[in-house]
Amino acid sequence: MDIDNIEKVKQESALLVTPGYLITQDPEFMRGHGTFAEDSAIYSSVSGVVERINKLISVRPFKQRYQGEIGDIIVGRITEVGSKRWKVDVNSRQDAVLLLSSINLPGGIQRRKSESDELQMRTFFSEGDLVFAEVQNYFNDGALSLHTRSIQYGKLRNGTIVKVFPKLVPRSRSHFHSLPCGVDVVMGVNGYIWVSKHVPQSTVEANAEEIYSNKNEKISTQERETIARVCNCITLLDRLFIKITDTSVIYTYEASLGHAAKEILNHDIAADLADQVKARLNDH
Amino acid sequence: MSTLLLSPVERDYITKGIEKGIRADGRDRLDWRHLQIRQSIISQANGSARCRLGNLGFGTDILVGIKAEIGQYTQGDSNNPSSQKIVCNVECSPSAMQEFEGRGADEVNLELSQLLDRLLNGPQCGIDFDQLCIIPKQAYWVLYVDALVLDYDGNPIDALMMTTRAALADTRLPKVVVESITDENGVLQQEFEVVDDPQAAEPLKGRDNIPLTVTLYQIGGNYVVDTGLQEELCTKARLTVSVNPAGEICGIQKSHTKSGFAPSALPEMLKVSQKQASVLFTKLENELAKSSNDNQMDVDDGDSFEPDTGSTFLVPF
Repeated sequence: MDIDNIEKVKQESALLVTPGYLITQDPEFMRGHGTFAEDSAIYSSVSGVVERINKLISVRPFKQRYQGEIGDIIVGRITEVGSKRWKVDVNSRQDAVLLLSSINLPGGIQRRKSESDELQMRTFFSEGDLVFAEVQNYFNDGALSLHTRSIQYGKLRNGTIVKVFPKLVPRSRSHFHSLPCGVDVVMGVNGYIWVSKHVPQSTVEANAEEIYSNKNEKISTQERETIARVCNCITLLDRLFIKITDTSVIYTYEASLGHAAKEILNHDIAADLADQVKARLNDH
Repeated sequence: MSTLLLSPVERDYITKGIEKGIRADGRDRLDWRHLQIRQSIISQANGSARCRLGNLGFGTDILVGIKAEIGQYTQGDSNNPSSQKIVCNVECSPSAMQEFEGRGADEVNLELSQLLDRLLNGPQCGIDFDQLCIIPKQAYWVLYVDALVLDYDGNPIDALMMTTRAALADTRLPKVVVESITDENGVLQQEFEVVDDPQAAEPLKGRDNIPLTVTLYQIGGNYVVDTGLQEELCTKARLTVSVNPAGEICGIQKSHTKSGFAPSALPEMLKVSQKQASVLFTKLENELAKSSNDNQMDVDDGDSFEPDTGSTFLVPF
């Protein structure tokens, strides 16, 4: 199949290619992302869908690392503490940066960051900590700059992380959900999802001093079981390639109630649950 | 890029959860993840197996190939028939985890290779080493056990041992014909010839007695089996117990340097691992029986193989 047919093909279905697939031999086309040229022919270097804008041919890969956009809500892990900045792993090609000037200090006071703040940066975030943040800007080299200047952003506590495929988490108005089963879920667009015990917003605001605390609250066995169930539901959606939204998680959760939390990931049960969820999602 | 980091909050969540008997993924302390295993997947090897310990197509993934080669007896070797007849080599692929890139995996490779070597080289292994001898003090079979860790999600030791056992059970030794000739000086000489017929190859004797390991990970004041990667990062110490099908303990190794066990805890841990080993043996047997059934079905289907898109992840490899 040649690119000349692509218009015809587009009407039927997208042109799917694998690495090394000959896209066109016509020298008038330019090669874009996801392609390479050899002897004036253009080949795909990834598996994905061919996209053409005028004379530019690129391939959009099916599977790729997270690519940030300004305004994305993400979950990241601090990997390095530097001078006036933290390096944050966000499941992207390179680590993102969180500047000391882009965080809220305990107490929420808006003031200039002093030298003493620089010296105690590890009391805010240290290596391994998980942060809930928003993408503020890009640097010249493509690295993301994050900020946590809002009461809902900051250090994550009282739960556990699930890693999923970034493309399955769609960008939406809200990425913080309090599910009816009493679990809070933070869906980072970068594929890191934080599942934790529900803490009412009023308590969070009342304890503004504790935003950098490293202590969990008491979590009962019942709550742990629910968190584990929600985690397994999210893993299931990820492995079966279903979009991960608050709705799909709730549907999976409700469908799974007939099974023990640890059984959800059994192959047969998982396939069955996924079918139920897909059917329900299609109904709406 | 930071798979080996854990925040204090996560550590606390995992430790307290294990204290309460409910793990982050809902399992109890002594629950295993799903096991999948397939034999004879490398045609060039004398025996092979691949196993995955994890849920829904992810988890620790190990491939073991076994090659039998003829080794020459050198002067000064001990007469002990079991010495160095099995050469083990474990390698962690950088595709399994970013930390394995470059020389990052060297330490793990060495640790796992030595562990496997200790488990297999010796009478505790269960294999009949006399079978490996072709002509005493002249030529014998050497089994090369090569393992490749393709994906890493905690608990590599138990997965490695299960795969190795399955691969050794799958191994066929080529038949060897030994001829005795008396030369002109009246000295008896022995010569041998390897028969090139795969049908004549024989399975290893004593392959049913090969032990499996159960590794107990101490997290907080409790111990669990089959940890995931995050749980492994919280582990203070770990105890590997190898147990044969008869329920006898064949070896114990404590590793992970951070701390030790209270001696009083050991008898109970040994009992637990004995019990878990019998669970593992049944799991392994069931899974192998299932996979051989699948193979037969594949043959029946012939070329009409159509991938089932709804459950692609169920296709294990």
